[in-house]
Amino acid sequence: MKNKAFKEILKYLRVVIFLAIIAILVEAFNYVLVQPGYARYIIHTADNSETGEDYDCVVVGASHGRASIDPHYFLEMGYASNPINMCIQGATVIDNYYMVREVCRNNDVKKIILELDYQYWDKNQSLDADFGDLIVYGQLPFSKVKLEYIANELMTKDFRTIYFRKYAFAKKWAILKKYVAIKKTDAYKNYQIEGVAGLDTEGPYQGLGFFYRTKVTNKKGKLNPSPWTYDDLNPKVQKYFEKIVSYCKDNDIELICVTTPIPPSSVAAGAANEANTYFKQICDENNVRYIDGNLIKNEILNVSDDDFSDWEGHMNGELAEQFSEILTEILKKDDCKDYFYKDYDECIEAIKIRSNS
Amino acid sequence: MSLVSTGFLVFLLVGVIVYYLIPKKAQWAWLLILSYAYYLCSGYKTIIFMILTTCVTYSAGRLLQYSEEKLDNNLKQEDLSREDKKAFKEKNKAFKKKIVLAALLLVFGILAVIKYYNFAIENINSIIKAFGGNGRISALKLLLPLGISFYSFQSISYVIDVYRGKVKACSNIFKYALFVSYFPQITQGPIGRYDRLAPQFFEEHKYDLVVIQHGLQRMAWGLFKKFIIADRAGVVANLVFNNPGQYHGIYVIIGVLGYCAQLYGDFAGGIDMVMGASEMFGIQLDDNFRQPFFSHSIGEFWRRWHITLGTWMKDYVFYPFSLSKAMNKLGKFFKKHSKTRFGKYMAKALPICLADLLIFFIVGVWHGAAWKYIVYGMYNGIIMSFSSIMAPVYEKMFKITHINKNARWYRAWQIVRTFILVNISWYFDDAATLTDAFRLMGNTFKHAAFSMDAVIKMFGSEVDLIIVLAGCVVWLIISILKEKGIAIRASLDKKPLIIRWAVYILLVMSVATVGYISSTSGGFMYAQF
Repeated sequence: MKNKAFKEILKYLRVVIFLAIIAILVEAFNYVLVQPGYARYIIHTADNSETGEDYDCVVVGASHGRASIDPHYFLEMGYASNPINMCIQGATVIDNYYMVREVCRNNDVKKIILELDYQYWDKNQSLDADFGDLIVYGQLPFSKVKLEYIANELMTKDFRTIYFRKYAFAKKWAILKKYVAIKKTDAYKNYQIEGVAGLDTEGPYQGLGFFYRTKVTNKKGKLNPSPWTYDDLNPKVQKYFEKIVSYCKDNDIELICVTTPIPPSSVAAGAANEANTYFKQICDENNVRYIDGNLIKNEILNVSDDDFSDWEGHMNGELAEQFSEILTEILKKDDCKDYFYKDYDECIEAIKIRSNS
Repeated sequence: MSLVSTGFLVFLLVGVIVYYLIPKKAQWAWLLILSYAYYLCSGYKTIIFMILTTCVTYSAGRLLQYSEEKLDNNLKQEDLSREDKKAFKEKNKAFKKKIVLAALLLVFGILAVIKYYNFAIENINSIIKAFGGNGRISALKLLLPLGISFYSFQSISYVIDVYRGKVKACSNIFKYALFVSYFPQITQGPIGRYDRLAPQFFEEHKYDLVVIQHGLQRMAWGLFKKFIIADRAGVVANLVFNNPGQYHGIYVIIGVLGYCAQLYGDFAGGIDMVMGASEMFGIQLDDNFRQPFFSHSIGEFWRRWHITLGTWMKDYVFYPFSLSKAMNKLGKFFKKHSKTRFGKYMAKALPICLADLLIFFIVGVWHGAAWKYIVYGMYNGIIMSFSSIMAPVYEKMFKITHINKNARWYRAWQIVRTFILVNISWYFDDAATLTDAFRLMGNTFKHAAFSMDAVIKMFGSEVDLIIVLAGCVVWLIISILKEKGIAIRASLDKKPLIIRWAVYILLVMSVATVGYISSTSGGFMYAQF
């Protein structure tokens, strides 16, 4: 009898050991193969529960936001007392929602600045990497927010996305040695920015989540990206935008939406004009303040094509500093009509006059 | 809900746990709840068609059974003359035929309208246009219900089996509903039979860890085929078939072979997932594949590939058609009017050839509402019919040339020949249109200099190419062992723990680490039928 019971226990013990071996192997593969990145550092920065220095103003968005908004100006100009830019390259609006949730979990956040980039509102958007929209999920610490992410987003996806981080594996074997070396450093283990210093960030890190992009001579991408039209709208993204709005309202957080400037030639080509007009409309409908950086008058913010490293709209550090200062001024004022062109027609007209002169 | 989605695995896990916790008598009811929940999660808008099919075929079964019982009672009357008995039987037979016909019309009518209405309209419009007409019949926006082809065929097989007296009609509509909707098989088959499934559904299943393990093993093997081979090979296939004018010569052949690996890996992998999931509930589904690429002829290929569709066609179309009165008459007519030995042979072979053509026309239509599928089916049908007709000629040639049909080299040649013929059929199956299929065929014979770099580029990278090839080699070895009659899982069970674990870990980790992953992977090709 005893022997039978022991055999039965042994059967299940074997299952547990087998699963444990699989888990260890998966962890080992993840450790060796997953690309180390900035997302790991910045998401962990939000885990601020014990320091007592809560972030009161958080910028959330994707690469345009990371390149354009320097929170030092919020601090210097008294807009916020402890701001941070948590924009992550490639982060979708869905990611933005979970980032907002994650940062608010451990911080007493008063203001959220949500960077809106039309490219993430396109239902036909093809992500740079397979399952590229899981970058933020992969770095979220295990919490209710992560479980919500799984329940809402991963149930219909390939089961491997939950635990195996194949989607974040290095694309080339040759680079693994470098990645493992990075992961072995104390800075990486302790979630310090120096831990990812060896990775290409296209410019030096200035602190508070801001990278000062170095000026480049050859722009990447197409001169005239295909314009976004209302038909391209991704309803799921719109739903998540509304979730962000509701979350902020429910938690007494001031939400401000910002679109950062793109090269004047791209504006003239109409790349994002319909999208940004739509952003204005959806923000008005939800009583959310919307600031369109493209409509800032040129005499206030002098923008030229040379201020960008690509036609898509990643601005160089120099313009980012100017933009951040003006943005802070605008954020601090209630009535800023004088800062902006009336609409895109007026803005494009001004661009044409400038280019002819 | 895709079989490889997190949602499905959570669903399965909860399903299995509850299944073994509840009273054994309620297990079938739990399976029914799971099946309907699965269907509702996957496409609730079209569940009405499945319910309708269930009601129609259940009622047909009950009526057939009632009619049979009534006949029995009538025949038991003592004062009946022989003529009276005959009259009762005739009347009963006519009634039963009407019931079957009504069920067939309703079930296949739904299928035809939903799946083929727009295709028919498209063709009618083309004819109208060809004759200079201006009128256009507008197409309908119809949602294709999940698994409609599978559950329609399955439920019709039940009605015919009851008609033939092979099975007794189910008296409980809920129990019958489980047979129609059983969730592991609803998306991509296999097409089950009532006599084999019902006893398993309604018997009590005791919890056994080994059963769960076997189910998981089979699912893992399915994932290997899907993620290691099919999805990766699909990259090359899509590249060639989506750009029919861009590739020539050897590159088209690589694309076709890629499609072969994609289709087989996807379908067989999906079936392994389905069978593994079902095994966890203690229910064994019919096998759908038996090493099809070791076939010596197209006929044998279809007995090894999508077996449940093949046997369905054989039982419910081939035999009834080839043994029908009309075919019998045709055979007799040929026998009477032909004087040569070949003519007499034809009298026997013709009904079989016509039945083959009919079957493969249906197989083609079953695959989709497009001419390319009809040609795909007819291509197979013509080869089989031609083989039947030419059989005496081949025999004569073997005698003249002294070729030993059982010689190894000849058997090997038959396998290669069948493989080539099957791969030719993929041109029709995967090309977007019939024109594209012929264009690709033409391009196959155009010269293109071979470059390994170009092949690697087609696959994405050298690593991807190596993974596909290695995956295929592993699958080939397993297939050879199975062909030799070795039961892989049973023999693995007898191996020492360390070897077993090494195999399982390798399987799981290969899916995790080298399995193809993309934002579009996860869907199964046969899930759209």
